Amino acid sequence: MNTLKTKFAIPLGIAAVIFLAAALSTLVYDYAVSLHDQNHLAQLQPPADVGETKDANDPSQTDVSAGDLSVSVNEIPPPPAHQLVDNPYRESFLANEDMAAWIKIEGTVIDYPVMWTPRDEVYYLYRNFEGKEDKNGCLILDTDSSLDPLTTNLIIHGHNMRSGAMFGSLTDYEDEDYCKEHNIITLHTEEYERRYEVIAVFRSQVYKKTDQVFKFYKFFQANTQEEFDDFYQNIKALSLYDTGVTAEFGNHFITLSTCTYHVEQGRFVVVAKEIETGDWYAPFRETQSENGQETINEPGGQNYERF
Amino acid sequence: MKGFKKLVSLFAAAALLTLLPSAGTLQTSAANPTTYYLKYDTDQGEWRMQIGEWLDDYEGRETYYLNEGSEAVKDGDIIVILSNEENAAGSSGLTVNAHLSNLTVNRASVVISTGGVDECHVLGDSYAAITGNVTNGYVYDNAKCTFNSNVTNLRLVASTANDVDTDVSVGGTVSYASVSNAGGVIKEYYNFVAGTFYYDNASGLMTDPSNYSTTGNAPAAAAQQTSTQSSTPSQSTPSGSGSSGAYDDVPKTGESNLLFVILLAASALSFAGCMVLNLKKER
Repeated sequence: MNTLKTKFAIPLGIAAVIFLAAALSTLVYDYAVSLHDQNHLAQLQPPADVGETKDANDPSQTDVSAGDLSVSVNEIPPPPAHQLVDNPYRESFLANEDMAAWIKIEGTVIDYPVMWTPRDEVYYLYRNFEGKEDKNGCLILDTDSSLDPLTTNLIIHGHNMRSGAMFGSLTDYEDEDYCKEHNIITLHTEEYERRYEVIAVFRSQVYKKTDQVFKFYKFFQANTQEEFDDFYQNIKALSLYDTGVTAEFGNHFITLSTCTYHVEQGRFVVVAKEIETGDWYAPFRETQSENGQETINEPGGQNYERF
Repeated sequence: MKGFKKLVSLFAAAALLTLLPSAGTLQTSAANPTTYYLKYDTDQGEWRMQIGEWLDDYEGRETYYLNEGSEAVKDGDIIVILSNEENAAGSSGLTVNAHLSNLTVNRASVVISTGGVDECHVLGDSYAAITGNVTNGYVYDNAKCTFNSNVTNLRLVASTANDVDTDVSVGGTVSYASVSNAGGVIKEYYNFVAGTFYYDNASGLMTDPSNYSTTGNAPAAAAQQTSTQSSTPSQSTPSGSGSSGAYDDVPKTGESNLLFVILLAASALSFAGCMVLNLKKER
């Protein structure tokens, strides 16, 4: 009997070690894949020489005036100096028309395209920029948010990856000092560089449909002072600390949301208020010329596949 | 060679177990809710409980089992208070430590303390005093009810086209309250100050207007997540089930750990088996 036990005990011990090694291997593998996908995204980063300033009044430099540009954008007056610059992300915009913007937070790994697919909100949740299967997925702009016309709140969802990719580092904002050091969020759209300042950081959750509570993920548009106050007061009350930033009716926001596990369906949320518009970007999309033919403004000399 | 064969057999068995239906998933959700039926026994002068269904031929168990032993009420369970012939509740109240998914008072009289309730239905002809925060409270027809704690959404419902005939008071706050009959919602109120909600069957809402709002503003001083009025609270019907609705449709942005957890569990089981065999061998 003892011999039998010995014979079973040894294989079980070996199996325990092998299973443990396999479990750890999955962690390492996931981490490596996540980093690889992250590095792949780095290829989309703009080259260093883009972003040259163009004078919008000079027809030799741009064929669309700033006045034309202002038609498609809400509440932002034309730039006084009519200075347009090349969009540093124009090649990415042209490569995939599902890309709504590029988000960047200096000093963090958050430097990603933001996809917007009204036909299927979660299309890019497990797909990379090229549309291929990817654990990290892409950041996605909630389909109830809109850049044109601009809704009061833009909600961006992203995976909380252990590797830190996507919004894996978003929970670092729990630390007030970290927030102070990384309080500016930049969103590069096709037309503008929009800048936001963090106003509230909090933990929340996805609630049941019948729950009558504040649901941060349901706020997209404030048409009245009351609607604005409801959102503003709730995010300030929930915030883990006072950021010192205030807002008023008419301000616009960006909300970054990722999964956390403090409760079922938990979410970690960073809300930022738009503070200023940075650079104005020269248009690069197809435009109708006088003879009715479509032309593309300097796509960079590469062939781009549209997804 | 024999050892190698056994090792191969062991892995084959492990693989088979993994591939078996439902063996490849780990259920982390809570077990199905259990329904407890309670009735006051006027002969013995005490409450009795039965699980799953109420059988008149069976006396039932003492209610201290609600909080003790293997049959104790757990979070998410359901309690239904049934009426007795005299509709008498006696002098003793009930205490349940767990957070209930559903509490239904069915033409009965009860004083009950809970760890909170998701859905609470007090049907007509009932007298109830309920302690513990209630997410969705429904008081029907001529029921009389006192909620001693907060009620997030309180609905006073007449099942006919007549006026609502309930008497309801709330010791805590009420984020949203509605009065409705078979024709639909008649009135809606918001954000009652703690301890001020009182609805009288003859006079209607008796709360001073300074203590509530008729518009959807969340109170500025609220430290908790307060109600938004961008959407009308949905109605629900009284039911014995514990369902309180599906989650909102929001993209899931977590990273799956399933394979890691399965392998780690397999490792732990193998290790535990190895240790047990070694201990027996030593004895």
